Amino acid sequence: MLSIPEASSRPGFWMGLTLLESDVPRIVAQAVQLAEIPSPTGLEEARAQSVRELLEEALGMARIDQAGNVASVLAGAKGRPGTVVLAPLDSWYESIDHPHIQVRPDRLTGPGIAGQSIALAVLVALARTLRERPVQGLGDIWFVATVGSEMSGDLRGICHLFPWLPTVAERVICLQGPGLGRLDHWSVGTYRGELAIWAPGGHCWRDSGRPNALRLAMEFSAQMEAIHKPGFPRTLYNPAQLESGDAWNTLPSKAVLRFELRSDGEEELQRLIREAQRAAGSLCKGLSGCRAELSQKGFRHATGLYPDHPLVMGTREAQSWAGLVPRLGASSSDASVCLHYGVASVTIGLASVVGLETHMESLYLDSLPVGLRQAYAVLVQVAGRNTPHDT
Amino acid sequence: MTPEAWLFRNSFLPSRDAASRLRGSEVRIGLCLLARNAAVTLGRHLLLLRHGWPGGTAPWSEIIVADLGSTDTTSEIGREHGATVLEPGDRLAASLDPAADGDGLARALRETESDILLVLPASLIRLDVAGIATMVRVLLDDPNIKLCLGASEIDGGPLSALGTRPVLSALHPDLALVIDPTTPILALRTSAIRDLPLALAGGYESALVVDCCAANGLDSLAQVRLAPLEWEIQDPRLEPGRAFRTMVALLESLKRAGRISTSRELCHLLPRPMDWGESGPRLVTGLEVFPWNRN
Repeated sequence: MLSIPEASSRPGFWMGLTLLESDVPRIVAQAVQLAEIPSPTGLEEARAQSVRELLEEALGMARIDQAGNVASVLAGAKGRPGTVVLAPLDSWYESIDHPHIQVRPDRLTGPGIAGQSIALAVLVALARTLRERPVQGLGDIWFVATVGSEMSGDLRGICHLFPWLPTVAERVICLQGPGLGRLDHWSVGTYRGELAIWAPGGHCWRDSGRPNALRLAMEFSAQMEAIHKPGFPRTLYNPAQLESGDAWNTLPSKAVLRFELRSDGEEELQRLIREAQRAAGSLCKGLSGCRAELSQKGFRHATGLYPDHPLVMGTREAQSWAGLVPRLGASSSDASVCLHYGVASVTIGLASVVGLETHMESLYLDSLPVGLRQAYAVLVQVAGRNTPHDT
Repeated sequence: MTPEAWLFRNSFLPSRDAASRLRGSEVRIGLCLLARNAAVTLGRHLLLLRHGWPGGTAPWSEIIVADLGSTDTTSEIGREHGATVLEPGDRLAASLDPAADGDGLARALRETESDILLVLPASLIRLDVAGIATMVRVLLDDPNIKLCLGASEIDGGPLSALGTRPVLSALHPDLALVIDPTTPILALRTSAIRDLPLALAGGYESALVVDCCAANGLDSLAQVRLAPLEWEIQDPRLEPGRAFRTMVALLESLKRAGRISTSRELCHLLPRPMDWGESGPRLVTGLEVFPWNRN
């Protein structure tokens, strides 16, 4: 990985940066346009089509794969290792038909603008910039917009890229909208479970002795809450959703509890999963007509790069050079899959954001130029490296 | 040209590549946004129309924001985005009514140096870029076309369907095939439209259609189907009084075109101050156009 002095002395670096910085209005406009295309997880086709058109316009060719990911490549110098830049296609919301983004002089406000759309627009802008103002000595750069990056998608887009991805690139940069200065080098281990409980049901007065599916689900949740969770590695249990009940006076015959276990440490995560399985297994013991089933709805390993990894150190250098204060952290994103498969990847944020994943999600425009500068520098550093596994 | 031939030749659907085909045109294409208290939507439109245009290069030689008496930051937002902002004239001070769409267009037509002007209301939430690009493309492709209308609904919306189209069908059958004579989205050839009479009140659009047809013939008109319009608050064509002003403007234009004749004053056109009589602006006191059969 190149140092900043090495990267910035490559012919074309400053010309490209100047072009990128002058392109901010266009990036913002494209982010607004993309944000206004509804793209809930599993229904990303329309936004994928728009991104494909933008990437095609920028690089001449782009394609949508079987999973729905949009991919395009900027061919680089022969013999140089490849790099992949990722941005998520899907939005956190599921039920907005016509999202609308408000444009104010200082900020953009609306669902999905800061979470995904700005990352997609920056992905396209980086491709356009490096095509129009090439930096000498870069390897192939793949620009990929992935589907299924939100909870219900379970990273199916990035998973589809394996085992192809390691054959073209050993370094991955994930772009995310929120978190200027954010440098996520660790994948938060995540287990998404769904506990379904069936009970005989009945009338609450007449059949009051019978098991209650809702009460059993709450018992399970209470057991999980009671388990010790260390602060380091940070570990938590989050009951996310509970569905149950038919009427005021009935005993619920079914309850579905969806929950998440998270930990920075793989061992802690595995311990919690075993505890959840044990609690689910013993929940209905001795209760006639009751059954509990725990199923896994998503899983990401707790793994990552150590802070002295060249990719992490190089990204920190680029962030400092751009005027940011790097904040090392962990997250659960497309990078999780890459890290799990041994492909070094980092996730960086592009702008200052408030109200993330609400209808008033806002992105502050004055933070965007420095986010762009950082992304551009990191990309040149990584794509300009001489060997696949640099030190 | 028969109405059927006109419908076949001069009615268009949006073309996806129209936006990129506008680039490189030697004809000067201007954009005019009619804005009243549109601070919420104006910045967005200017951003997307300047920087979000497909292909990256917007075709506008100038961008005009005709302010219709805003009390918010509409003018400032327009200037921040590099648009020429036309403030409402002195008429405002003498009239209780704010400046209306027709007045804004008249000011824009006086100021513009463009050959083609695309007129949009800034209070729209979303713009159908392919549709409006097709409207401009239609004028570029056929020099005979002077006015292109954007039709957003199959029946043109309530004011067109229930007001202007029945009147046009009865009194100007050639124009019965115009889907949406009251559309606020227009692309016009400035040299041809500048000299036409223009109702300064809101609801000038259908009268402009009649006047353009009278001056240049039916083949000077075209229409493009647009995506449904979404308004920030409500469709201005549904505002109280709008239907009345639209109908009076339309009847005035039909009178000019010789389609109706009456000795009575239709008296809707808000006169400019220099045209006021000694008693000030004329007031609407009644409307009698047809010899109503009271039996």
